[in-house]
Amino acid sequence: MSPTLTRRDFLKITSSLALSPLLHVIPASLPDSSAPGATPPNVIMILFDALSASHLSLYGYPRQTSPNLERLAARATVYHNHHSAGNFTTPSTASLFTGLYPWTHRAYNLSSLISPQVVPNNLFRLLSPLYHQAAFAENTFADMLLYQFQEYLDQHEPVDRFSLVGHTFYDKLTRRDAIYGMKSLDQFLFKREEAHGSLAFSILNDLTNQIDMQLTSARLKGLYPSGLPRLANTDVYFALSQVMDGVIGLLDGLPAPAFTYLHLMPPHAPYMPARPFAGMFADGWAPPIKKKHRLSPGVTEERLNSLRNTYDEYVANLDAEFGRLLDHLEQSGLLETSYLIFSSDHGEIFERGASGHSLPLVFEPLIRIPLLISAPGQRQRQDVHTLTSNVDILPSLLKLAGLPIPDWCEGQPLPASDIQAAPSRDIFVVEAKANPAYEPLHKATLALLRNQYKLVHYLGYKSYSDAYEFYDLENDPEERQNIYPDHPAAPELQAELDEQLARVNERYKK
Amino acid sequence: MNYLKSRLPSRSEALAVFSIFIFFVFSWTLYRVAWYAPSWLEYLSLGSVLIIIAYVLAFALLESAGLLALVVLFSLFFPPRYFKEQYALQGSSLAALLSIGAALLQRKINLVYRLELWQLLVYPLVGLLACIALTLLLAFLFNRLPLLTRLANALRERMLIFVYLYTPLGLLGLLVILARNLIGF
Repeated sequence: MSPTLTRRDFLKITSSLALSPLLHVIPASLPDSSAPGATPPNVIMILFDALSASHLSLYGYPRQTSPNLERLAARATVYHNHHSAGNFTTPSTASLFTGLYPWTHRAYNLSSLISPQVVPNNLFRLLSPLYHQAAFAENTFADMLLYQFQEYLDQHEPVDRFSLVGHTFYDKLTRRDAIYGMKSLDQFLFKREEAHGSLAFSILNDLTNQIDMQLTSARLKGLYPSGLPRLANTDVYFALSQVMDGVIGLLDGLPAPAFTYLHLMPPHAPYMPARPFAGMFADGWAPPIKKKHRLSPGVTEERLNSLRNTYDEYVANLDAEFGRLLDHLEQSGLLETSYLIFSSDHGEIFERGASGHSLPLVFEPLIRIPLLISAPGQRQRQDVHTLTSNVDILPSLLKLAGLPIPDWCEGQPLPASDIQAAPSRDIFVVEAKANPAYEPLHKATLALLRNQYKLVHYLGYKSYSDAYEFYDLENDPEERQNIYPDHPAAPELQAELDEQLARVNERYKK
Repeated sequence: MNYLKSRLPSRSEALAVFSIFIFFVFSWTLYRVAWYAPSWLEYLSLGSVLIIIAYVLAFALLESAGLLALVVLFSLFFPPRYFKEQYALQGSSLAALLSIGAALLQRKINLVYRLELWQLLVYPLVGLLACIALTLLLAFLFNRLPLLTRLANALRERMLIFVYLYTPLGLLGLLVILARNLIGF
């Protein structure tokens, strides 16, 4: 091994000297990290894609979908009102990485990228002096964003790293051109479920992939009775248990201190629970029916019930696999030396005639996501009910690492308790996939949450243009009663949301 | 070696078949690009879109060359009187029919994901048998119908223009990719 001190090593050593601010968040039971040569705790951040807090028994869902998450909650800080800044992977993950709302980072189109001006403002650059940084995202949209931060990652695992069948093309190219490779090869020439850009070879690729998948599927029929889980937007199939084994191996092999970002596909559609979870919720239960929304595609209640059942089973499946990871972290001692952050990028909806998340809607099941943070050595459960957003993750991690929070950050450090929380806080949700990235927002769904209130502005939709909805989440958590414009708090929130919209649009006016 | 050489098409014959593939592959790809480019331009810079198009064009060139190689390989399995004697004509016709078939299949590509395993194994086999039958049928028709032969030859000769139109585009794409990945352009 070369004895030369690299720039990165130098930065790590100098940064570890400035670790004293960490002490106030590290429980007293931990070894003193201010001792010479002490290293900061690892940070393991695990996201399950499209996991709605509304479907977790941890947050009061009537089905027992998350017993293992409840086990983690017993020794973690549980955030009950944590919201995503967007309703699908690209904007929400970009917000998590940058601490900025989608209207600022501009990655709000399907499979789009963070604005080049904003790219340097990211989590990985800021944490890079302190940690060995590893990332693994099974969602290609999230993985593409990771490629924007490639230079700050020490380890970036390919999207199909732990898969069973199929492949992606872009991560076989040079890292420099992976994004262009994804756009041209994976999302155009060989794009799934749409006429491909490649005339003939794409058909051969489809045929060989499908044959391979069917043979593997037949072999694993006992485990996956309705078929293998698949990475969305790809032809890559996986077994969740195998992915979790891979993740465990990955975590074991990391040098300390490490910041690890893990973004796993379940319970994103297609919902493919394994045995014994498949069929476990075919119990006839269904929540009360809600009126179809004007922007809903109008999925029947029967179909919604069926999809909800399978989704819940898939959630229970991932919870069990997460339980295995938790066991391993406990047994290996990693939990004692690491912050474990559990969350999601966005939720999923099965009501009002809408299913999934590719929708212009921002109801709570779509944007309220789980957040649990277990500190090294934490033994007590802490519950936080204050409104938080995933733009808060970046400043919280910086605070945790004793690093300054930059001015450009739109989030705030997460409160450790309700007492610590700021009295009133505005958080925003931006859904604008149909709006060009570098033009003023003219077709979008925007939401402002303040205390128990939620204002939603539907902007530029043909059948529902410039419409507002207003909900009191404390008295109407199911968002049944639109009380706009009668509620006295509505005008104030509307003025604030309109002002924010005018401010962000100003920058993009020609 | 000499035997193999005698079975391979001449340069002009290969070029004739290549021109058909290049026409269909590039036309299809550019048609799809026209479909997609507006959405790319909504969130990517013009430079980024041009790099994506460079990848797409380079791939189209390689795909055309790959398809030509498949036809050459396919022809080796036939006795010369059924393929080699009218290589340019038969190869071009086969290339055109395969390309049209692929374009039609692309419009219903979702069906591929719904096929059973036996269908996935049997349908390509049926396709291969159909190609063999088609080749024999073409050999028969071109021997028997001089008018059809003349018409097909006239069309084939005119298609050569696409080699000169599309090949430079593909090469340019390939150059851009090489420059980006080898010298960091």
